[in-house]
Amino acid sequence: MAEPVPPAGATSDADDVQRRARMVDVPMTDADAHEVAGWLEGLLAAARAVDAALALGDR
Amino acid sequence: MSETTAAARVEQALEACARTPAASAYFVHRLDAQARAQALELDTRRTTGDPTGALAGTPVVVKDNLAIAGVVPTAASRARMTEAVACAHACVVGRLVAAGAIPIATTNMNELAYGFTGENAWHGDVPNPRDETRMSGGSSSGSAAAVASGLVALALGTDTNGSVRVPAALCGIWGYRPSPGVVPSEGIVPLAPTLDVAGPLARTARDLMLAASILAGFEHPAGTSGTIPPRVAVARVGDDRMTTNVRAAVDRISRALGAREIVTIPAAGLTAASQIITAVEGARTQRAILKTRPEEIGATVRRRLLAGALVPAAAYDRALELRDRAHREMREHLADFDIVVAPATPCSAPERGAQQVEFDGIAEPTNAALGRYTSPFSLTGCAVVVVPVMDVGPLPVGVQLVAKPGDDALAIRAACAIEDALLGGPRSPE
Repeated sequence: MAEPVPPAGATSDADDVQRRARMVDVPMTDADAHEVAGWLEGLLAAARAVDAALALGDR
Repeated sequence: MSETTAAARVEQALEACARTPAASAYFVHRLDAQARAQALELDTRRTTGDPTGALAGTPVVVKDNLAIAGVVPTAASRARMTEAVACAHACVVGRLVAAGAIPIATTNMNELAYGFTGENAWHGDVPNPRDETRMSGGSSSGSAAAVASGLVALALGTDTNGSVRVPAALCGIWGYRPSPGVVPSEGIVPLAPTLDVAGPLARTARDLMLAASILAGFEHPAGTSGTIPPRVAVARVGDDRMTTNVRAAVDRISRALGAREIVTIPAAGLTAASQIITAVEGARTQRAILKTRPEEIGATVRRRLLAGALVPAAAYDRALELRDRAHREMREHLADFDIVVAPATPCSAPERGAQQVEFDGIAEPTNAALGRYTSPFSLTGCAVVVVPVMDVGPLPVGVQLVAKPGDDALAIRAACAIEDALLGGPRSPE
């Protein structure tokens, strides 16, 4: 069964991280959430790069 | 048959470890008692004329995320220290042991194999034996350091996005990432199961070939020359940025192999897809720990894994879609070539603790920079051997020999040919 997933989003501050974390039932401290925001931003940027590469290949 | 007993070789290795101050940073578990017992048993077999194997009595070290019977495979994480001891060897460990190799220690690593820096929150950072102010590279950091410092001739590591190749390059030794399925992966503590493979690190290309033959069942042309395949090209990967010493090393290896053409590998999106797949799969494999006792994973790795848990499922699916497409396209790119030559890392070993590296006037995070030329070939399932180049600067750099998936033997034989051409035969890089 697929795990619940949060909606995709372009920004990921600590509050957004905590909201996403609650949705997937992975608790984290505020200190972690603050740092996770940066890592998540990087992964969301990577997701956009993947989308761009797929779009490029479709042309 | 060697006249030196296995027991003597093991004692020699253990004494060398004791004489090397930095060695304590290379290891997680010392296996002195087990190694001595195994050596005695092997020597007994030898005296009775029983077969002892191609690696008879050879001390080796094993990355701490590979199971050794009777030892807890912790992946150098506090979170796994209370796991049960392994009841059997990982398949790759079993094959080396069956060939007579004797594990003397498990090795330090980036925690849970997540990272390229050789840093670890629980066991300390692994210094680079070539210059202890520099990173060893990771995640198979202790394995690479133990080989580069001469404590052992052979080590086992694992490679998800470059974790054999990056430390091999930074420490100046040979390393091999097998194509998926060529070497069995049973018994690896998983990080990203669709990318994880086990592979050897060695002081010489011939030792690498011997290990590969045992691990993967290749024909082992011992005593024969390496083979330069006829169709060799230089890869231009992504933006092709690298330091001048790395470019000099790539040029030298390309010349040695007679490369005449350039093949462009469009890396756009490949590294990004690797990052997403690794983060999401890593979060899944560690989900129970992240939910119940996250503090038992060091802060940097924990936060990267937590971020992976928050990546939308659709992003992971698209990363897999890009990987499938990249597999097909890489086969097309490599269709006309047996081997392509590419840098292993864009620079030599960064200073320990460096958060960023800078070359060509552009700074980027160290971890991302170190994996930029290895991850595209992991994602596309290629077989890769890293060749150490020692004299293009004060520190070694590594060059990748990349073969199509399944063409592992081509890459290894080409590595032996380079060893013949540049070093005059199987000689350790100094």
